[in-house]
Amino acid sequence: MEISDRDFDEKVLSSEKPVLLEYWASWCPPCHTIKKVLKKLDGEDTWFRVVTINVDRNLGYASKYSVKGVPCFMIFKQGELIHREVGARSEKQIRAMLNEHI
Amino acid sequence: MQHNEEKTCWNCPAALLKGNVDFRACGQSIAVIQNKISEEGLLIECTRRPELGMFEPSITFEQCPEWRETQYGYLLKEMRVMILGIDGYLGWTLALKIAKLGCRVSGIDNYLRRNAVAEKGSKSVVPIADMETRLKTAKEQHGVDIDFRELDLLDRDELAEYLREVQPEAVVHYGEIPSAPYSMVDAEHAIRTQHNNTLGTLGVLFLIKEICPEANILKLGTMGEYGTPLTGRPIFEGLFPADAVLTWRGQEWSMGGELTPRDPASFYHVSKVQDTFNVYEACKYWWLRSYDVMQGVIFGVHTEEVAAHPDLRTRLDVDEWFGTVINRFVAQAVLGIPLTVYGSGEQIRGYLALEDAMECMVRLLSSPPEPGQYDVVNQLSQLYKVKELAEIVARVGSRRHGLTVRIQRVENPRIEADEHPFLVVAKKLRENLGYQPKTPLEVEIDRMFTLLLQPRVRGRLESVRDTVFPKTWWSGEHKETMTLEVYEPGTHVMAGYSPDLVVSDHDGDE
Ligand SMILES: NC(=O)c1ccc[n+]([C@@H]2O[C@H](COP(=O)([O-])OP(=O)(O)OC[C@H]3O[C@@H](n4cnc5c(N)ncnc54)[C@H](O)[C@@H]3O)[C@@H](O)[C@H]2O)c1
Repeated sequence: MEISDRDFDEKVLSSEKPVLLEYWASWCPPCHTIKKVLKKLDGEDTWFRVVTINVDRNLGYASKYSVKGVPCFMIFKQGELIHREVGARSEKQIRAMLNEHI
Repeated sequence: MQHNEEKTCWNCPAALLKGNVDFRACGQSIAVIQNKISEEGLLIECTRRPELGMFEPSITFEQCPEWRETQYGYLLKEMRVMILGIDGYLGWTLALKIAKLGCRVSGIDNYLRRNAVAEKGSKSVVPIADMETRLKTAKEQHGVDIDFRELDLLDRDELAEYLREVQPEAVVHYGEIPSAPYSMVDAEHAIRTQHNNTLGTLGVLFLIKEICPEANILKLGTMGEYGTPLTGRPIFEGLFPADAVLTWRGQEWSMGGELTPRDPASFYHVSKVQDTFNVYEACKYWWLRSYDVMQGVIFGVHTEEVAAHPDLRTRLDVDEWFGTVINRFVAQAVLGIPLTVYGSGEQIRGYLALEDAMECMVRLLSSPPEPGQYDVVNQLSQLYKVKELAEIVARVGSRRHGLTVRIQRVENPRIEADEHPFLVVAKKLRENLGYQPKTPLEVEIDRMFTLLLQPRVRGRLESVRDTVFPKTWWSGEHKETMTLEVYEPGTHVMAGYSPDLVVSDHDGDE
């Protein structure tokens, strides 16, 4: 699901479920390719939520969390940022990240 | 459901971003950036609907009255499309097609192609009218107004003026020298090709950035940019897919989204690879948006629009420099020259009919990338071996037109792998843009025979007979090309590797 700064609070910080969030940019080809994987993950599991957010269009929270590079993956639990990783990741690596932190 | 109905203003070239913030400048001063972000988030203005004022860019193509439904998806009403190289084989054909679909078409050409073919001592075997007649006939037959300027795209001042006048919402860039053998003749031809293509494109990118940065840039590349890697690794669509991984010393890295390796097959193909990097960088630096179209070899003569009148026909070349393989085989069959297969004839390439190529281009026009997005599509319908194509042309020529066709293997003047695996991925046009190939190979070959056998076309074909046999050696040597063997169709078995085309996720590649 694509979100914006406006529903960041609702979809991420106030989420009951843990959230995997990815900051992306239109000029970042790895960000586009990973979208398909994230969509798939979002569809197959119900115990966490996957959201994507465009960094150039939503600089509010990006600057708050000091996002410096994309793709930037973050995991939130109960509104708290518990893990972050910057850089392209394979599906296997994303699954491993989820298993380790959620 | 239309393939592009859920796209929004983010993909629309009529949308002007207000206060576009570049996150990459974040490190410089967070305070400055924060000041730029309005309370509302990012807004846009629509150049077509100024009455909306500033609004959130969330209107879909389906909802927006400026996007009209067509058989190829939603299309921007009266979209202003500028075609660079509009007098060419593909440029003219596309101009008629999209003008009929309601686009406002403009174009430039400096007749480089007509002149280069004349330099070879050849001409288009299908007679083509001059531009003035073409435009007049287009108006009479199809009721369309196409605007044309004779100019060299390397003349940046003139092109800038024209771009300012037209303010295109899409730029289709066909305006290059398209021949591999031409680029291999000698230093002069190689330099001319790279100068025209690479520097031409670089200049065009600067002009688009200055004048119409929102335009959807359809840049023509070729499948020949990739080469034919002997490892047989897949030929992805320009960028590695998300699940491609590099493993080294027990560690793993994702390759997703990185440019795949290129291994161009001539100095012409090198010019296209250079273009690829220039377009890729321009999108990244300046928020331009582009499809880099890795096109297979086009064959054929037919679209509904060009077939409507003899003065609307598009060119067809059969000489060794500018003729492409299927077109040349049909011409050779008509001339009674055994079809010239180079080397073993086991080379595998991607192909598509002229008509299908045009449909692909319309679909790409209908679905612009987002600002800053560089995307690549492999545009082809099917893979064939050269030897197999000779067999098919021979079969259609003899069964449908009573011709006696033979095949000859000649020395391969090119430096290329004669036998190679070829696993090609061509999913995006089909899966994301709703394309399905419609023109069977035999049908188009049959149409070509019918046209080339018309007395006035056949006469022209006879007059260029001497330009057909290959003479340009990649090694730079000046020597005759020897015939290795002449054989009857149906007497040779296919050996070696089989073509492998992946067109959907269900083909088990991912
Ligand atoms: N035809 C194919 O099979 C095929 C396959 C793959 C890619 N392509 C690519 O598609 C594009 C169009 O191919 P085509 O077959 O129509 O070739 P073409 O030569 O018929 O068309 C190119 C047109 O651009 C014009 N042109 C070239 N340089 C110019 C300049 N500096 N200023 C103004 N006009 C200029 C030429 O005069 C010509 O009319 C080319 O970029 C080609 O590399 C073609």
